[in-house]
Amino acid sequence: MLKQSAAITMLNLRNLVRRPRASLVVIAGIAGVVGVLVSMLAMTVGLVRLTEDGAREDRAVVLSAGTNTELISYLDRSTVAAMTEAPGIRRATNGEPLVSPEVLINARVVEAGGGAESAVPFRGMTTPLGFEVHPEIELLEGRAFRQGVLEVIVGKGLRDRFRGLALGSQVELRGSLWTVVGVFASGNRLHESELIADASTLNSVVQSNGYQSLTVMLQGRDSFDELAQFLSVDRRLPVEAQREAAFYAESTVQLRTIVSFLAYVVGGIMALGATFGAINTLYSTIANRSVEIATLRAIGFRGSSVVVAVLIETLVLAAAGGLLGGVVAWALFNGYTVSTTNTGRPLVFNMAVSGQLLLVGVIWALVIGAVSGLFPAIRAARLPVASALRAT
Amino acid sequence: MRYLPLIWAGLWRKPARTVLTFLAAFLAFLLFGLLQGTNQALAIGVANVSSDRLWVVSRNGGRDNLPLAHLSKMRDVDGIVGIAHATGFGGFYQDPRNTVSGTAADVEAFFAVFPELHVAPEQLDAMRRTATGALVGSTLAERFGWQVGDRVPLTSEWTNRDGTNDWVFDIVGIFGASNPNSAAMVSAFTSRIVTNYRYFDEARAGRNGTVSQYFVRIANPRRSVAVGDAIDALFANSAHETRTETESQSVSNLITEFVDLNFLVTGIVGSVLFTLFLVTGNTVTQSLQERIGEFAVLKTVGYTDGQVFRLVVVEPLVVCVSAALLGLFAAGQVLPALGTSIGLVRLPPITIASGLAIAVTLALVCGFLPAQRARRLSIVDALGRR
Repeated sequence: MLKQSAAITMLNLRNLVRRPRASLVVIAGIAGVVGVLVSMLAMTVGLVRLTEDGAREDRAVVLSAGTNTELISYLDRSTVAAMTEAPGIRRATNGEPLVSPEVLINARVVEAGGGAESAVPFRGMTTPLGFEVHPEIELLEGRAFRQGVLEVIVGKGLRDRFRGLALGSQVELRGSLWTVVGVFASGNRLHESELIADASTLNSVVQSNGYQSLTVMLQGRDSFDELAQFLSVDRRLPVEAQREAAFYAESTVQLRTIVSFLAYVVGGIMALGATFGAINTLYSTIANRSVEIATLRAIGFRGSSVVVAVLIETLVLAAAGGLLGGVVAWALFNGYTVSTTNTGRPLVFNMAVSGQLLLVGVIWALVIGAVSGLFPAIRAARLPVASALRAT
Repeated sequence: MRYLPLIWAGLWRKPARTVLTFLAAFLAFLLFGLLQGTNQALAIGVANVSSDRLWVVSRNGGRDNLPLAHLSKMRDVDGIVGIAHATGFGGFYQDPRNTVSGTAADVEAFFAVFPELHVAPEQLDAMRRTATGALVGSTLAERFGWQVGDRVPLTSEWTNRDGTNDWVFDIVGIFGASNPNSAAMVSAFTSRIVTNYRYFDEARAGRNGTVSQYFVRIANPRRSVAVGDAIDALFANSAHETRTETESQSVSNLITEFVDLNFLVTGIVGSVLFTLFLVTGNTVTQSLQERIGEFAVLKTVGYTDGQVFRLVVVEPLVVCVSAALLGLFAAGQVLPALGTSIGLVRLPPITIASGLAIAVTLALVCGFLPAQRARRLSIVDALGRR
């Protein structure tokens, strides 16, 4: 059976070139499905990469209990003071606990090109503690801000996109005039799309006090459990700690879920449509080749080998379609910058068509191919030989 | 329409082919209706500037809060009939999967600005007297079987001053929405719980004296832009700038901030229609190929070139248009169910019209070349091929 199937398969594949139109329809239909699916999922991959890169295993983020986003969280000074006594926290060379209290609000900026408005995160940190807890922040130009002054440093990701963020310029943020004293890069790309200034200055500008989060440098990776244990026992501290990676993953989970859901629903409907289209095309292809298939059956090839051969032919076309769709998605969207507002926090990230995604695309294509090839294959095997040979 | 039997016979010559093409087209137009329908409904929402209710949110992006102090300044603006502040209050009831959305507000002002929501006056009175009181929307009440007089514990994202996230409210009333179909956005409020802002603000740890947004009711809907600009001018260049828009614009913004829907929809719909074009084109060409002889016979019997042309073109037209009608109808049923929380009430007529136009165009384009071939058929050559 294997030799028979192989023989017919080779025959069919060689003949594929002679019937370009039908083959193209199947390939194009499947390429469309895979292209759309992979493109949409590339957004989720991009989000995961954004949040995973730069997250350290020995760092934790602390928010007030019950929240998972900095925008609602509130930690007052006494809570911060109590946190500095918690176990598992690394100390600087001068003995100071590496606990960085941070303010996070949004600021309105204007796009350099079009003039459209956008909101960007505006973070308040203390110096030099904030920089010790975030050693991956590197000043490319200028210097860090000073305390008590309207000075701000700008993430590299923002400087060119928006007006007034170049070194030395003055920019209106939250109703006050700030001076850009530095531009920074960060191993953590999330922070690279932020403005950073002194926490108490920021608080006084928006007439607030308290902090939204604490970033804590741990003694080691395993110290996290010590910290978490301490917090769950001490009821006076209404806070929750999360490993940095988990915190960032959680902050984008809602967006990722929605995009994935949409991708699979739309992809699913398109796949169904592509299946119907492919079955249709293959039926007519089989009909055109009825003489050829009947001849093969007449000279002794078994029905089952015809089925296998047709299926393989379809799978080859489907795989080609899947690869084409994946490659087009890659060419168009790999590295494409997306900006979106995720539960109030503006996010800027690049879409990523990973190898794994391309594989997912090919698998979907093969499934569509298998399902669509089945019916025509069975029909081809069941062709009544004599009447088919008689047909013109 | 004496051609009907002929057309019908032609369609059902190969039943599988017609059914499969119809199904593929149906799915394509279902997707079109859902995606483009959402896209256009939101665009219509954004364009709708005539409205008697405005939303005032922070200009600094979604979840940023506004000071309560803004309220007294806004009262001076011309044309305002009522202002209500509201603060989002989310949490769950007993199980983290039972999410509950809440609003902490100045309750009387809130219901005055939302006349579509009905609450009994005694219940409003009870809210005034009971600090921990809550008014529950009818949908929410039904969901958990809550009744007036119940004490409900909620675990919230807000921590209160005693250090826990647990809050307890006494249900003093249940409110409903009139005409739930016309203002889908408003009926979404019936799945919320409304509590007293003053109690909430005093009890919460942090962000005291701030609100999530304001709702403003104006006297003249046509002046919405002018009033909105006046409100924003009050707070321009301050630390807490505002952005004021009509309700439908604001709701649309919630989605468009999230994702560039237009781009997404265009990409997907384009891809789907292109594939459909290929499939239908192939079907029609294939079908003609098989029936060359038949058309030759028709011409022999006396059918003119033009009649044969029309016969060929009509078949894909029938399939595409009927599939489009069914697909758009299905989308019209599904869309409101999905979209009530964002104000999508129905499939916009423009989507239906453009969907049908696309179906017709697609069918004509696919059918044109084969139909031309049929028209130009030389009887002798065609018959000879058999």
